[in-house]
Amino acid sequence: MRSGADGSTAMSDAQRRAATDVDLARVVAEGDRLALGELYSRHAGPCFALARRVLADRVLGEEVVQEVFLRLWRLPERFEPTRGSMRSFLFAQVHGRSVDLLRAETARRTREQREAFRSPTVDDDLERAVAELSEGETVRRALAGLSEGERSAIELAYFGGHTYREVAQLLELPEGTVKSRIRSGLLRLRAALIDAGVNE
Amino acid sequence: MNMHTPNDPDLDALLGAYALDALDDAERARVDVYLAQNENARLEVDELLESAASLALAPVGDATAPPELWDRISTAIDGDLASRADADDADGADAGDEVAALRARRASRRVRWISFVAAAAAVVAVVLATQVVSLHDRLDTRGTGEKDAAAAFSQAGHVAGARSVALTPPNGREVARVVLLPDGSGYLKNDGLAALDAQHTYQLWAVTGTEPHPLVISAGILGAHPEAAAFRTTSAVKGFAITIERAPGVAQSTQPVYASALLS
Repeated sequence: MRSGADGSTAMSDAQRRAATDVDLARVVAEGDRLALGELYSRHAGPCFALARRVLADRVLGEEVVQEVFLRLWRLPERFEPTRGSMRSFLFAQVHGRSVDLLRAETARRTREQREAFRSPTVDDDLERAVAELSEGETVRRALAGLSEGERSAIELAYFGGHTYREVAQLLELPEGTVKSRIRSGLLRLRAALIDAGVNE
Repeated sequence: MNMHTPNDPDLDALLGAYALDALDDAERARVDVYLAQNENARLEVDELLESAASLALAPVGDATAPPELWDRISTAIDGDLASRADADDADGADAGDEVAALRARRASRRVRWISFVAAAAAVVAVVLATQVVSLHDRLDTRGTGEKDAAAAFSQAGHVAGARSVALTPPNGREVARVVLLPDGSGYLKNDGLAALDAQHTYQLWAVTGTEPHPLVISAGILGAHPEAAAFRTTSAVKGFAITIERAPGVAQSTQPVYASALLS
């Protein structure tokens, strides 16, 4: 890393590729657009997949990802490393924004009319894609380890964008039961992922 | 000293749904308030959010962002930089140093912001360890009602030189918006502040001063469930924060920051 005349630090391409997300976030805060690009290359794919799955709309998914990364550029201080990973931060932002859109009445009306996804684009970082697939498989197995009640409640809420009250109606269960299952399921999921080395 | 509220089993039960964005707006706002006051709950939510984020890695088919999406983001960043350069030109800054100026400004803002947010995240006993000056009656006392304040808020956004900002809790969603005019007049609009009980009130604070001696001054007592408010402060404000205080408000806050934002 080298220091600029203004006291900021600039990364070489190699340093950027090897840098942690926290280091990249720090230089993004100093105005390093390429560092944001590196974060984008690491996380935009899963972010987009998440937004698209929740919204069932490719165009809206792109808008959400664009908004979240621009927000990271404009307000990098919103990411607090002490509270969680960059990936978790971005996913939380993407999910929250996606759910907001989903619950907007206009989005709700058009959701039923959306076309099937267009053809996928090619990933230019195979190694990263494989790593994500591997982690994804671990998450899938961890989800499978939950009770059916926990899993269905979590999936309906997270991927369906439903409130827990809506989930209770869909599953014909008391709201208290759904709240409890979501909370216990997430805690058990975290424990399983820590055991599997996905989360620290 | 920070007020640490005891755990509330009803609200604790909502934490999982909170992490999945599965609460309605009113419940989410209630939990936001709870998290601002309860460190145990906040720690649990941080863990639950990690679990929730992991769900995004579950196989969902293609996980590739369209290549053109980065181009659009990059174009928007160009727009940001151009706007900054224009502002620097207007301020007499050397146009050739615009990127350096941006970096310096962002770095400076980050230092302040980290201090600011750390106060909320770490629930420190003293807000920013800075001098806090009581300016209790900053809320417009000329009879401006909430309805008038809401209308003024809408109009203020169109005034030349007006600066607006959205206040959010850490990792939370926007709960209020503030517009500050060049003459120091300000207007706040509720965008998600949940109703408090009668024993508590929201209080608005303005961050002024310069490093290493930022000054946090009360910009007004907002009440338990404000819709909108008008206030007066100085034009040299760098950011705003909202705390939850015992009614009728305090001269010096010892509470964690509930929501905050820095003016760009």
